[in-house]
Amino acid sequence: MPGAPATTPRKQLIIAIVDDDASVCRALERLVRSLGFEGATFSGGQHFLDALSGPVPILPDCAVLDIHMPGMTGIELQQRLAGTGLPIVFITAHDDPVLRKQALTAGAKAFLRKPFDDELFVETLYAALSRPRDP
Amino acid sequence: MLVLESFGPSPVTAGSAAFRATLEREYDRPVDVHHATVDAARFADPAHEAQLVDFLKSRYQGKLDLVAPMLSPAAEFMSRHPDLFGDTPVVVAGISLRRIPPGLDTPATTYVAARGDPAGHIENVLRLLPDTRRIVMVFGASKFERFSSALARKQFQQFAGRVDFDWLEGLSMDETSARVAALSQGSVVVLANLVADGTGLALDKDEGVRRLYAVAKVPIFGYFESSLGKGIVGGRLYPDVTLGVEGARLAIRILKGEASNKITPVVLEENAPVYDWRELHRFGIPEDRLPPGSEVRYRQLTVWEAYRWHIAAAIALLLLQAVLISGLILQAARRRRLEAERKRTEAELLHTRAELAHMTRVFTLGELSASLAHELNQPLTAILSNAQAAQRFISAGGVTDLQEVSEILGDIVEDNKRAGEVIRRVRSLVKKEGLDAEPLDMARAVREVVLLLHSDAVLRNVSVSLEAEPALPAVLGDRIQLQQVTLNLLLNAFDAVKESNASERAVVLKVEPDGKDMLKVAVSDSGHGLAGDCVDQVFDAFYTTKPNGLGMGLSISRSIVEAHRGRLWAENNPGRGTTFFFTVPVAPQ
Repeated sequence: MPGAPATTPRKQLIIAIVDDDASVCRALERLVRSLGFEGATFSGGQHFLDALSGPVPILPDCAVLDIHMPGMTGIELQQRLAGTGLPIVFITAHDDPVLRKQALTAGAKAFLRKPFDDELFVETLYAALSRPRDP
Repeated sequence: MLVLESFGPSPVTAGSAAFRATLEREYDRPVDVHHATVDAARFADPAHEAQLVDFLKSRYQGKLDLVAPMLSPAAEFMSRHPDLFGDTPVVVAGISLRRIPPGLDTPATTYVAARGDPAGHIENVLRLLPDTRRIVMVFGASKFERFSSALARKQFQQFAGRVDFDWLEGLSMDETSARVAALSQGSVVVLANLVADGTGLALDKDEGVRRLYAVAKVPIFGYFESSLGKGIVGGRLYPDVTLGVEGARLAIRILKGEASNKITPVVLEENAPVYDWRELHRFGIPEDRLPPGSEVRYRQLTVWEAYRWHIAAAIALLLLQAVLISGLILQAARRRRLEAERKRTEAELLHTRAELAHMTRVFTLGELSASLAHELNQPLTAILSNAQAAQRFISAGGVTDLQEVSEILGDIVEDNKRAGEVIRRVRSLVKKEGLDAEPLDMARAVREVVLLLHSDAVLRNVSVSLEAEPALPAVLGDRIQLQQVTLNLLLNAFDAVKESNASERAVVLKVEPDGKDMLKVAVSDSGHGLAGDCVDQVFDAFYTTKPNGLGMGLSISRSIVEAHRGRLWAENNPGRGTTFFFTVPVAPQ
């Protein structure tokens, strides 16, 4: 098991998880928690945007977005988040090369295909987080 | 008038009978006819003749308008006594031309005569029956007949070497009959005259021929036309009847006032040969052996000849009936064959339709593989992530929060079931089965399809909603096939809204009653609708608007629904988009 970041976090980083599948949301929240992060789950893009701009806005360090969601898709959400500097990791059960290219071109840190191994997820998350946040 | 018979008094000859009959028929005034007879068969002696002369003289002298001697013996009697009746006209009704006695040639006398030709009879026999070896001549025993016989013997010498003759004469009728009965093939009988037999018994005019005919096994030929029809074969017959008829006509002329000396005697032309068909037939004598100009009488019409038209009509009717019956049988057989063929074709069609439906389902599910993978990947992702999170929790600090672990395990179990459901739905649709109608919950079946297509809807960004009235009755149908129809309509609806804005991509399913006996499923989309003329065309096989479509979906769907005795149709919505409807009968309670 690589590293021990879960045991020695200097600061509790917040990972936002946006997926319309509640079960997937719950599982990923547990996974990021087991890695020592704090997980915040949202059932859709609008829900997440509302939380970002609410009266007590959350300040996630990274967003894990599902691509296919009713209403607003992950790609549309990415567009809405453009300029926020929030690192985005896409997860999708349906690997579409066109969407993958679109997402990465638009600045996504990674594009993971569900289901994914926790090691890959950990590496991806750290890779995403190592980037300095925009000032 | 006095009729002077040659034989008799009773019975009279055929000529005499004809004379009387003609007189009665052709003369319209009453005639007092007296009869006397010379009775030549019995009394041929001069003493008797003298008595007769006295008798006639005393009874009739000066009282008669006409005397009519019948046949030669009477005529000869008259010729021997030319002054018996003075100037009273005399008509001899029938005499052989060769036997006209010289004393008959008085001014008061006229006659009807015929040519006799005994040799002609023999020629006739040999012509008809060339194989004849023996001719048996039958004569009676009267003086008149003995005379005839003697004449014949002389004439028939010309046949010496061609045929033998037996002469039966002077015998009793019984003996004659016995001799004739004993004759066998190769012999024929020629009946010349039989007015009295060897015992002196006078015979009825037809008795001879009648009795011989009753016993003879060989053909009988006769001299007289009066014998025809009574058993003789026939030939150029002596016109004994015609002599009577013509004699009567001469008598009528005289009774009407013509002077007898002004009346030329009548000599009858030779009769045309005439035959009895029954005898020709009996002895196998072909008609082509008859002399030219022969007349065949008593022809017994064969059933065919007698009832030709009846038979023809009956046969035609039978044929018609047979044709009709054959036609009906053929038609029935054809109908049975067609019926069997129809059943076989129907069975094949059902099978083919099931095969095709199955293939289409497999094809459709193949098309859905991406969304099905998505549908499976969601629970698998959750399971994996949950399990790995639990591993990390445990390895990090032992089992610290059992409640958390229990929740994780609970989620894993649920997601596992979810994945299992997806696989079950796919498998049930891929199952290869024929039409298996049973009561089923239509709303539930539709809901399963919606769930199966959940991922597809998400991937295509289509919102799907299902409105089902609560407590709908069960329908009678095949779940897999009805789900296939639903699946197909739903996928078509997804395609229909593809071009719409993401926010407007909506598909609504409704399950509701349609009357008392049917349930209706409606699938509405918010697409562009169908062009007017496509509303029915879309159900044609191979009709498609999609680049990768088979064009089979709606065609198969309609055949499935119709096999359920339901209906599948499309209507454009009043606002936008199209609604496809199908109905399925409610299962009997």
